[in-house]
Amino acid sequence: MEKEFLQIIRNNQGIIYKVCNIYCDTQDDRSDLFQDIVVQLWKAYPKFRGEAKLSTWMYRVALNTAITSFKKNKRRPDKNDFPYNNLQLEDENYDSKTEENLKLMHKAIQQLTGVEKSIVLLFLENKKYEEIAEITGITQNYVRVKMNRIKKKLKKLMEAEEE
Amino acid sequence: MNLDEFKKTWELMSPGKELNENQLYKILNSRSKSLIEKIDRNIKIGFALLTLFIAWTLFDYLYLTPRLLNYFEYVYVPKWLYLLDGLTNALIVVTFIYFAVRYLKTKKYGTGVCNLKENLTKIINILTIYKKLFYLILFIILIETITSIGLGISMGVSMGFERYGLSFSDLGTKALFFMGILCLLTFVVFCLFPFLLFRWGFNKLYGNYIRKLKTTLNELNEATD
Repeated sequence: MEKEFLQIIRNNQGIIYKVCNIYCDTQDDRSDLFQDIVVQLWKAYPKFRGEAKLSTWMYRVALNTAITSFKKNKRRPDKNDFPYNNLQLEDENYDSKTEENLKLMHKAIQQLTGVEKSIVLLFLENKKYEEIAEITGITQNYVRVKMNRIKKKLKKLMEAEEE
Repeated sequence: MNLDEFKKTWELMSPGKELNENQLYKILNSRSKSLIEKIDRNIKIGFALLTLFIAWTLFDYLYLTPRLLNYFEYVYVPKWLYLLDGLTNALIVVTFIYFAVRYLKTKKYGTGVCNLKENLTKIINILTIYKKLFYLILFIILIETITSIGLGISMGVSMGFERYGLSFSDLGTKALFFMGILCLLTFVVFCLFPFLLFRWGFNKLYGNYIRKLKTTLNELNEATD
């Protein structure tokens, strides 16, 4: 079972990295959260019977862990730290303008609440409203409403950052 | 850049540095740093200590004390103290059973695997049990301290009365006032002060965390109202 689980994690590490990037400011926090999520997934794995999609299950456990994680001492984010350094952009898509935009968007997302961050992440990951509702425990209608509010909020935050 | 444009860039991202099987295996064998895991461990330790305490208290109340009182005939335990002790023990046993049942019910389906809202509700329930368990243990310690001090003072006073051939009604207003102040001071030093100190400590450690979880749950509850 352990080998099977490790294989699943190896094939889906991107999910965990993305959750860590959305919820953490520093590399140390991201590493701690990554470790916690893997441990929680391992604990939950014996009960996973394939009723939900594997990615849905992984997001559910990972987001639950991220939202309920507790940092005793908040570390100061490193100004030079690129928030997505554990993810990479293919060379042809990379330029300094894109990196700057990614940093700005990350800063704006960091100002959202825990629930809003989870909805944004699931939206970015192309999850349908039905799946977002299933993971968060709110209604599909409210996911739609919340999504519109978040878009407006992010737009304002981005404008403020750019000024 | 708006969220839709950000999404297009996001979709082009892939994990840059992937951990290999050995690194992941190491993570699996490491101890979780999660606060919830620590609290869960503390609750189990708390339940184990309480079980031992209850077993000892029942043994003491039902067997040891009556036998010792038969042996040392000159020791006099006031009835009110014996009754207070019995009531406290009964309260501790009932509260302990209530907490244990609630905790097992909450833990039945595990945390982390359900949706965010259910998960938060469960964690807040566990934290509430933890908080109450903490206050129960504190209450037991303080009651035991006050009972022992009360017993000591009561025995000392009755022995003093006996030695000087006095009765309670012989005491003047000044002496009664002094005794009252002494009782109040004892209560503040041994009961109120430790209680406030521990309460402050608990809130300092977990207060912000509990508030943060409740705020998140309220945000989700607003969505379903």
